[in-house]
This record gives sequence, C-alpha cells and structure tokens, in this order.
Amino acid sequence: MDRALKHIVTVIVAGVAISSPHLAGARDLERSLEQVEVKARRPLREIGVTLTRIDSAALHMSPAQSMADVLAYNSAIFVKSYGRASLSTVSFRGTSASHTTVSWNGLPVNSPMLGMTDFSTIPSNFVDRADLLHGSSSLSENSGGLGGAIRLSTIAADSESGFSARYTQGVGSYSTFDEYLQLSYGGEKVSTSTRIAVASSANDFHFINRDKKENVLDPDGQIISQYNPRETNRSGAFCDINAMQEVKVDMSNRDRLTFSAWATRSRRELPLLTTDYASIGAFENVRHETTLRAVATWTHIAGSLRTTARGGYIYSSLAYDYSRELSPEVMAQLTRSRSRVQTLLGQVSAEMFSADRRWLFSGGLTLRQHFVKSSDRTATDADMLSTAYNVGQAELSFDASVKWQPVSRLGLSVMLREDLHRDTWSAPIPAFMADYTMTSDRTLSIHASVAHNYHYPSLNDLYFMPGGNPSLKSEHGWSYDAGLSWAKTLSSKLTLSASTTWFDSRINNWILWLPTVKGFFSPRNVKTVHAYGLELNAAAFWLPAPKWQVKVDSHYSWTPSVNVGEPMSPADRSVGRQLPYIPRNSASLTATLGYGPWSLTYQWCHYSRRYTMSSSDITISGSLPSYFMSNIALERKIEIPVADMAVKVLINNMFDEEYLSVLSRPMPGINFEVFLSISPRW
Amino acid sequence: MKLICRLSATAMICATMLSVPGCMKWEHGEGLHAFDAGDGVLIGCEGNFQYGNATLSFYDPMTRDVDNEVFLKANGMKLGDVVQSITIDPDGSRAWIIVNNSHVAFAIDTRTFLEKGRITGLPSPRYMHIISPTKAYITQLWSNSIIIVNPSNYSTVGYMTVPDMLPAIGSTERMLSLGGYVYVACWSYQDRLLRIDPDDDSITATLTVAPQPRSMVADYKGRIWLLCDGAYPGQRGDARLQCVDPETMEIVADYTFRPTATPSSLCTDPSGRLLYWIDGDVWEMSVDETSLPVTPLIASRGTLYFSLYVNPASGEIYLADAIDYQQPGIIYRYTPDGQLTDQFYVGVNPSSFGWTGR
Repeated sequence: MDRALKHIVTVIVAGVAISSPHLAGARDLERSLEQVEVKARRPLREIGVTLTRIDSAALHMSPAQSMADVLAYNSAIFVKSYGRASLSTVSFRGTSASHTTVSWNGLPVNSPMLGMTDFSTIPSNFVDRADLLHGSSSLSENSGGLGGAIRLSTIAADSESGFSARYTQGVGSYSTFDEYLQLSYGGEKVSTSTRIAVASSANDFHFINRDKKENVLDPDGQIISQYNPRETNRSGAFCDINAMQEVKVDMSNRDRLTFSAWATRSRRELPLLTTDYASIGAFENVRHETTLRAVATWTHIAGSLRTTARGGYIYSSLAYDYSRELSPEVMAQLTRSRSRVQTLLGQVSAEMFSADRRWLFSGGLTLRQHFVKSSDRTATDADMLSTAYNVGQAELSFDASVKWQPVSRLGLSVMLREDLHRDTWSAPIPAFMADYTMTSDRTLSIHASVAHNYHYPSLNDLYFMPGGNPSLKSEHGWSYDAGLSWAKTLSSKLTLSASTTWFDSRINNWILWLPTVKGFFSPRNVKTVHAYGLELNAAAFWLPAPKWQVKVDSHYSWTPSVNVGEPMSPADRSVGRQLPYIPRNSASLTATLGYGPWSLTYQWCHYSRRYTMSSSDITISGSLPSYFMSNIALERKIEIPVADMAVKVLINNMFDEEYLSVLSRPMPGINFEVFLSISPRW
Repeated sequence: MKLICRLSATAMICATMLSVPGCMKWEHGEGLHAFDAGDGVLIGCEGNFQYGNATLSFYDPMTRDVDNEVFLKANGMKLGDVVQSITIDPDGSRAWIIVNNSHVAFAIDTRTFLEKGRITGLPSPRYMHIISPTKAYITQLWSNSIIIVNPSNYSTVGYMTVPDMLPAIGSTERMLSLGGYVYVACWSYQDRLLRIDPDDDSITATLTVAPQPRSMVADYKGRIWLLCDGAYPGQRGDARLQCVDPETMEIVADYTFRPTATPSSLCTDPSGRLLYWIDGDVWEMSVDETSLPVTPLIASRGTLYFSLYVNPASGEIYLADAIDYQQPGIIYRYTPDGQLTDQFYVGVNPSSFGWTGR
C-alpha cells in the first residue's frame, strides 16, 4: 500500500469514526439522511443496483462548477480534465470515456459522433439529482455503459410552493464572472422553473512552464543560461450561456406531464500546449457550440401499473476553427470543422407491481434516430478536398425485466435487452442481480450482479473521413460485481454509512484510434481489457452540539485496467499493463462543517500516477505523477426582512499545487471566487 | 467540557483533512546530464499528437549503447509535440530537430545534445535543408510557402511562395540538392516536384507527378526517385514509384504497386544503387531494375514497421517498429544484406534519424 493509499484510508476512517449524538439539520443535510435510508431499504426497482447518489448540496455548491467538478470531488470515478471550460470526460471502473452513458431527464446525451460526454459543458446548477450507476447497473438505463451510467435529472418546483427566485453572482480570478438566475413557481397543478447561467473568463492564469526553457544570450547570440519561463495560459478564454425551462403539469391524480428544454451556446478557445513555441498573435483556435435538448414525459398511473411515454429532440451544432499565420499578415484557416447532429427519441415503458408488491414487471421500447452531418473542410472550393460524412442511423432497443422479492430480505432481478444497431440485432443482453439484507434492522446488506453488455462504435468510429472504419465490431464483455452496504442511524445525532463493491469485467474488441501509414488515424478493434477492482464509500452525518453540523462523504476506488489481449508483435510490452490515462487509485472527500449560518466546505481529490503509454513506462516525458487537489469554501447566510442572502468565498487549489491532469496542459494555481446570492421573499 | 471535547474532535478531523494535500512531485529537469557522445545515430521519436511527448534517442553503433530522452536529460526541458525530422549540419557539429506541432526548430550540439539555438514561430515545419552556413529552407504542411532561415543566427530571413498552391491544402515536404538546384516534393493534397534555384530562391521548373509524393531520394546516376501515395485522403489510387530526370524534368520510370500496398520511407544505400522502402515488409530494389521486387529483403514478423533509415556511413538498415503507437518503439538494426545484428527500445513512434559522424 503506497503512501497515497494510506492517506486515503486515514481520511476515510476519520470520516467514519466520528461518534456522538443529536438533532436534525438544514434541508440539504436532511436530504443526505434520505440517501442513507435509500441504501438501507432498497426499493424493488433498485435490486442489486450499485448506486452513488450525489448530494444536492454538492450539486449546487457554486454556479462556477460543472458536473466534471462535482464528480471529481464527490465520487471516485476518474475525471480527465483539460482545465476549466475544456474537455472533461469521466471513466468508471477503468473503462474509457465512451463507456459511460449519460442521460438527462431520460434523454441520452452522449454525442453520437464521439460516443462520450463532455461534462465541462453541464453546469451543476442545472442538475438537481445525479445518480451514478456502476457497472452492470447501467443496464437499467440502456446498453453501452460498460463502465457505468450517469443519470442526471431536474426537479421542477414543489407543488404549491409559490414563487421563488434566486440570483447568484460570482466574480473571481482571471476575470471570471458567473451569473445564475433561477425563477420557480409551484402551483396546485402547474409548476415551472426557469434557469439561466452565464459564465465567462479570460482564463489567463499564470504558471511556471516546466516543459520549456527560455535562453539567456550573450552579445554574440550564444546561450549562457536557461530558465523555466513564467507564462500565461494562452487562448483559454470562454463564454458559456445556458438556459433551461421546465414545466410540470399534474393533469390529474394519475397523469403528469413534464417538459424540459435546455439550450447552450458557448464559445471556447482551446489553450496551447506547454510545448508550443508559436507567437500569441499568430493563431486562432476556437470552438463554438449551439445545442438544444428538449424532452417531454407523460406518466400515467393506474393502480399498480405505471406507464411512461417520452419524446425527445437534440440539436447540436459544433464548429471548430484553427487558423495560423503562415507568413507575416497572411492568416490561413487550416481547419474548418463543422458538424450538425440531430437526434430524435421516442420511448415507451411500463412497470407493474403484483398485488402483494413482491413482483415488479417492467418493459420498454426505445427508438433513436440520429442525423449527422460532419465536415472537416479545409478552406478551399475544391469539393474533392472536403472530407465529410452525412449519415442517418436508427437504433432500436427493447428491454424487459422481472424483479422479485420472495422474502422481505431477498431481492432478485432478471433483465434482458435486445438492441437493433446498424440493421443488426445484438445478441440478447442479459443481467442478473440480487441483494440480501443480512440483519433484521436492515443495516447490512449484500448485493451481486452479473451481466453482458455491448458498446457500439460511434459514428465517427464508423464514418469519419478520413479514417472511419465501417467494419468495426462492437466492444462487449461480461461483468460481475458483489458488494456490501452498511448504514446505521446510531442516534438522532449521528448517522454512518459505508459500502464496498468488488467488480470484474472483461471487454473484448476494445476500440483504439491508431495512426496509419497514410498519415491519418483510423479506429481498430485491438485489445482485450480486464478491468477489475474495488470501490469503497463512507459517509457520516453528525450533530455534535446545537447549531453544529458535520458531514463527511468519501469515496475511493482501486481500478486496475489491464490489457490482456495478444501482443501485437514480439516487442509489444503492453500486455499485462495498465491502460493509458486510467489511474489505479482514485479518491475524493467532501467535508462540511456547519455552525448556524456559517458553513465551511472542504473538497479533496486524488489520482494516482497515470501512464500515457500502453507499456506503463515511467519516463519523464510519458507519465503523470499522482496529485492531490484541495478546494475550500466558506459561506455565510444572511437573513434580511425582504430576502435570504448568502456570501461565499471559494478557494480552488488552496495549496497552490503545480499539477497536470493531462500531459502538456497547464492547470491554474490557487484562485479565488466570491459569490453573492439573493433569494427574495415574495 | 463534553462540548469542548466534541469540538476538539471536529477540529482534529478538519486538521487531518487539511494535512492530506501533499503535492505532485514534478519530474522535470532534475539533474542535467553531461553527455559526451561519439559518432552515432540520433533517433527522433514523434510521440503522440497533442501529448507533447516527443523524445530524442542516441545510439552508438560501436558500443551498442542507447540513451533515451537525451534532449530532456541534457537541457532539462521537453523536446515538444511531434518531432518531424532531423537534419545534421554538413560539418556534423549541430543537429536540427524540427518539432512540427511545437512550431520550433532546435539546434543541438551533436556531442553534448545541449541546445545551441532555436528558430521559433514556425507555422508547421516539416523538413530542413541546409544550403550554406547562412541559408536553409524549411518546408511546411498546410502552407504554400517555404521558409528561408539563417542557421548561423537562428533567424527567419524570408518566405518563398509556391505558385498555384492553396495555402490551406498546401504542402512542401522532402528536399534534396542536385546539380546546383534544390528539389522539393509537394506531398499532402499535392502532386508536384519543384526545382528551386537557391541563388535567388526562385522556382525554375515544376513537374506533375503521381498524387502525394511523400519521400524522395537521388540515385548514383543523379536521378530522383519519388515514392507517391497515389491518392489523396478519401480517394482510391495505387501507390507509385517514379523516377525523374532532373535535367529534363521528365518522368523516366513509373512503377505501380498492387492496390493494397502502402509503401513508405524510401531510402537509398550509401552508393545510391539500391532503393529500400517499407510496405509491410522491407523491400530492396536496384535502381537499374525494370520492375518492382516480388520478394522482400526483410519479412515482417508481426512487426509494425513505422520508418526506415540507412546509415550513410555503413549502409546498415535501421528499422523502427512503432508496435502499437502508444509505447516506446523498438529499433532493429540489420546488415545491408538483411541480417539482424541488434535491437533496442527508444521513444514513442520513432520516425526520423540522423548520423552524427563528422
């Protein structure tokens, strides 16, 4: 066990070891108690499921954070981030970013072109509930989540809660400005919620460039010494605008209609590498995105039968422009990439409990149709030089499951999915799950599952020009997991919970994009990967004294993800080695200390060394050392006659650590942001 | 008292958490290494695009010792993103390392590997060709211009624009000197061979060849051989090997490869009588032959040959295997008649070579 691991265990034990009694707390803290209850008394539809539910307080900690930040500090899944407002992907259980499926209010939001989701584009304030479904548990949502699934959802205003409003403004380092407005109305039958977020920053932080040296020359032009320059992050500015509208209509006691629409418009510059010697005025490297996601869901409840129909639409337009100065005053547009993606979703599902509520039968049908037009057109009028694809692809999926609780302590679940992808039916995708409550007070339970899963190639994998490979096979494999959960309310003042899950999966036909001798990349099915490991969670909620609250939530995962395929040649040293950019150890912790209107939140995360080579070589140029990251936030709530206000000071990277998440991508040192929130009383 | 104890416990927990930060141990530039290398082969390893993990290795054929990451060890900084080529000064004193996506050309001492100077702000440099101590050309991708530099003071002197070439799909690639002219193959999306007069930097002749001439050598008869991809990206077309008479600027021999062939890395032996290239296996052909060979010189052994180099001093063949493009590649050293004599690991995607013998 290395030093980092010892630190992690110390923190987790410290988090769990809190003891003593007393009292209920604020609304957010009460929600975390609910979370513990869910784990202890597992609903029938969650039999055997390994679920991490992100606390709502973590989701709404600040308008400056994206879901990538929330996941980094509130789970042990690996977040690979190129920096704020830059590509941030996540991977569960040692799998790749495209092996995590993501849905928002039931609408799948993975890019059909890339297969993955950029979590830096999802403001955490636009999510009210985030569930992480680990491994085979993701099959309850859809197929493709070889690592897991993330289920994001929003909650319109509570019924009959009346009007409410909240406005938050943040001002921070590097000319960063965050604005967030939420207007809600909860009526007897109709509830609405409107959210608007605007974030912008020059993002021009300074850093010591350890990858470069500047020369000091003598009068003859000879180098007499060198030093690491202090540089400014170049081409990192961004402006993101997000708006969301939700409407919930309770048409009757049995029928509910919800509608959500979320629009995004962003302009993000792509920062230069730390090894780039270009001059600042000589290039443009920028990405524009316009996206609309809309979903309507109708739910009808008739006795024990619940029927849901859902329709959704996604429009996404992405533009990437890269221009450079070729010679003085001559700029050339080297890349002009455009893509337009439209996705239509139709879904019906039903579930029915038996009269004794020991059986739950469910089934569903999902149809998705993608229309993708992608071009990577150089600035020329010669059509033959345009590389593009324009395809439509339909995906159909059936699922059926039976869940049974023969005795109150035992739950069994069988699920079967069948997918139609590119005119070919997949083999049936089965999943078996079970859990058993070991103690009469339901504090201790075990769960296990076994499942087969498929991940289909993305449209870029198949059709990208040049390099797309239409003959790619789907990635697939069996996965197994088993775990133990414990949760106990020791007194009215102290609740503790902990869980651990072992998992093991083998993924065949792993897809990698590799160079070709013709100078471009092309995807191939090249590897078999054995991903296995352990996940640990521990949480505590403690009210040590009147007005005092302590909450600790910690996560740790050990995720060997090893290439076990055949060597590509006699010299291949990748077999038996950890996959690139998958840390073996990940951990996070969020602790909150509250006293009356004050609260102090500490966030911490750790990733162990990440290799960038398939052979796991530790070379200076080719691996990323482990790092720890710490943030802290101090908040003071202020009540005035006409409004509730709050002032929050957030310090990111509080120990001013120099670190890298991705090779050659600079990250900011210590930085600050101050937020002022106001919620008028109507 | 009980309350104090509880608050103390809380404070201790917070203190524990705050003590955990640690820090990333930055693994750069510690303990610079003083090299004193003899004659040998510099090997440029591209690394992976956008990783910034290009490296430079040095191999001594006499002792069979290999040193990896010599640029970083000597200078305490990274080489950059995608090493494209290595050019050695005519007197062997300096090696020019062209780092394409770092937009820089580093000049290093061939004995100590210490930086002697650099030319920065290069839009998309590919190859450097030294014409005199004060003049060199640097070709570019995605550009219709060739950069003129002064190697003696590491400065950019000017640009030479290729007529009728759209900048965004422009490409100038390999260069060689012959008969007082510099010949330039125009590769990506291009199909031309240029003849340049280095005295006034003017293009004096052009020849249309097969699409995408990627590598170019001269034989003992003073003829130019071009290995062409045969098609532009997204199009179909068979690779071609073409021979050009530089005086008349005419194609005098033209060989078409089988449809599935993807030949690359055209080289000659030191005498200029033999051609070598990679096409799955390693192939050898006399420049006086009239047809492509049917039997390879060195057969693939499940290897992924990425680049090929013939030592101008010994005629030995150095074959780079990129393996899976994500791990340190391996170099196989063969005698001119194809006998394996050594093998060693270098950096990721080894693709360029330079002989430092003086």
